[in-house]
Amino acid sequence: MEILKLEHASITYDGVKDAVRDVSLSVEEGQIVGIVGESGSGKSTLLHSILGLLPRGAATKGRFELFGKDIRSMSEKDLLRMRGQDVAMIFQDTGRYMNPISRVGKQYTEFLQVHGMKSKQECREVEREMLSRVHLHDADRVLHSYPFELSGGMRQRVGIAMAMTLRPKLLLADEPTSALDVTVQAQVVFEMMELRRKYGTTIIMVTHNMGVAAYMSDVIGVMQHGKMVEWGKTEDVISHPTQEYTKALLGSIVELGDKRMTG
Amino acid sequence: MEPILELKNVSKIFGAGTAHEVPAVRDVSLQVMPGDSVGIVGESGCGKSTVARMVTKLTDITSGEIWFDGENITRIGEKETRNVYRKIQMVFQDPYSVFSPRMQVGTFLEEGLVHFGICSRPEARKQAAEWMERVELSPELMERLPHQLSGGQLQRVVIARAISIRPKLIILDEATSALDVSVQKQVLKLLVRLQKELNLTYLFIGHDLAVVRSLCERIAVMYAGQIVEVFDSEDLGHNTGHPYTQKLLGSVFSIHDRNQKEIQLETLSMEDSGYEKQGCVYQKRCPHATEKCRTEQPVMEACGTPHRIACWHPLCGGHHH
Repeated sequence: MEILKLEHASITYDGVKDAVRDVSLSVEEGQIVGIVGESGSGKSTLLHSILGLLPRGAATKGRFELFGKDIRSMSEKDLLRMRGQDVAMIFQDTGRYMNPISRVGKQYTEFLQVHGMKSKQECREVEREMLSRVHLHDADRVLHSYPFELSGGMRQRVGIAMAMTLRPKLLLADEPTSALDVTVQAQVVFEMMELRRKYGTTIIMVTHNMGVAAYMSDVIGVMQHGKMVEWGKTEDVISHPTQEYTKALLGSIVELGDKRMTG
Repeated sequence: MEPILELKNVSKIFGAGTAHEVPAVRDVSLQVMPGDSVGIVGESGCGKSTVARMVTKLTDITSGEIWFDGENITRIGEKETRNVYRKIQMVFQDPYSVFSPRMQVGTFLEEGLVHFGICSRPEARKQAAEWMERVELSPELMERLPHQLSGGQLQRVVIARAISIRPKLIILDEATSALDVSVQKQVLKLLVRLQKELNLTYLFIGHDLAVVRSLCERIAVMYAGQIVEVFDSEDLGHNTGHPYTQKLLGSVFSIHDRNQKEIQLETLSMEDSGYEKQGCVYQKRCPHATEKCRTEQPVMEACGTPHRIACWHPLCGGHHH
């Protein structure tokens, strides 16, 4: 089943800056797609457009189709229902979009109640269950904490747990590991891979970390100046890139196996 | 040869003597020889930046001694500190934060040269232009303002200024971490080239093992305020033995790793461990920890030159005990 289809999609900010130019792509159910590129390449804008989350002043052109429906013609009410239910998103640092002066458990419960769960009792049970699935076993302590009291890795696990509560078919991840230390990054990669393994979740991830993208993704897209300059199976993009830009990007990665630089 | 920088059992305890003591750096010893490039690698909160801040006198020291250029600089006055600043230069992560937004890039270079008495003001313009060329920038950019340059260009200017005043030690604190990948490698290459040409001494602080390895001859790994292993950069992986070094190595994703690397599930991070009352700093996360690791703190021991390791059960075996 086709989850997402873009045809000649373009996004312009304030009629001046072309953030995304003429992008066409298709994402199948159960795929993990990694979109890489340098800062300002338009990759985040593209990801946000899928949820209808573009800032005021952004104009879209072309076709944006999610689960076979045209996103651009959806009402705000339909979009709201879709967010969280069918499509969820995680960001670079979950702690930054949580309310800093409200306990994690309270915010989690509010989120569940917005989506129709009634009793607090029921909510708490779901929360504990979801947290244990992302390997946060001391759920009560986590729920009783304020966001700043949790470590970066724990916060990101909470973000993944919340995002997955309603079993969305599609998870959008915007630089999900970029704010994390390397050993914690590996853990978040592990949790995301588990989502697909356990629930068959489709994941579209934007990252500047080519290593993480290559490890997780079935398909890699490379963006430059708003254009999708390369799109293909991960093996092909890594081993046989067709575009000069992709070759340059791959060539500039500092790898552990490299020889030490000498003048 | 005398080391240019030597840390002898240096500790930094924030809030020392209060109920909320935070041991940011604990009993760190390290030598940097002239012409060396030494890397300190570790995750955020491990104390690596605090080490840099103590060396540059931005943070005072709780205990231990720091020797620089043959002199004990642990507790020196303001005047001597200023003298140290001529000999130690630092390059930070974000070049934009270093510049005054309205000062021309060229002026920034000239100020350093004049202030530290490298040359006269009339001569400074010419020398600044030469330094621009040395870091592969057109001297025409000297009239620009900081925001008119890219992050990579600006970091080159910062490097030029640091080197232009002829310091004996350059501390690079995550100096390439904020740059885009394509720019990062070029700046690393520039740093390597300048080191060779001018016989510079680097102390490079970073979180990215691959980046640190690409630049440094020797690497010190820090965890929870302590150095747990020091080794020759070339030995990383096949002749390193601390389980945490191993963990760091296993956490790096290469573009060629697809589906080959197995990630071990772990719910603890450094923020949740490392400050136990006794024993090894890594005991809670270590898969090889024994009773001894929980009760006795491993001491840093030499197992080859420059290889030193603080672990009761090192993975490389053979030469330890």
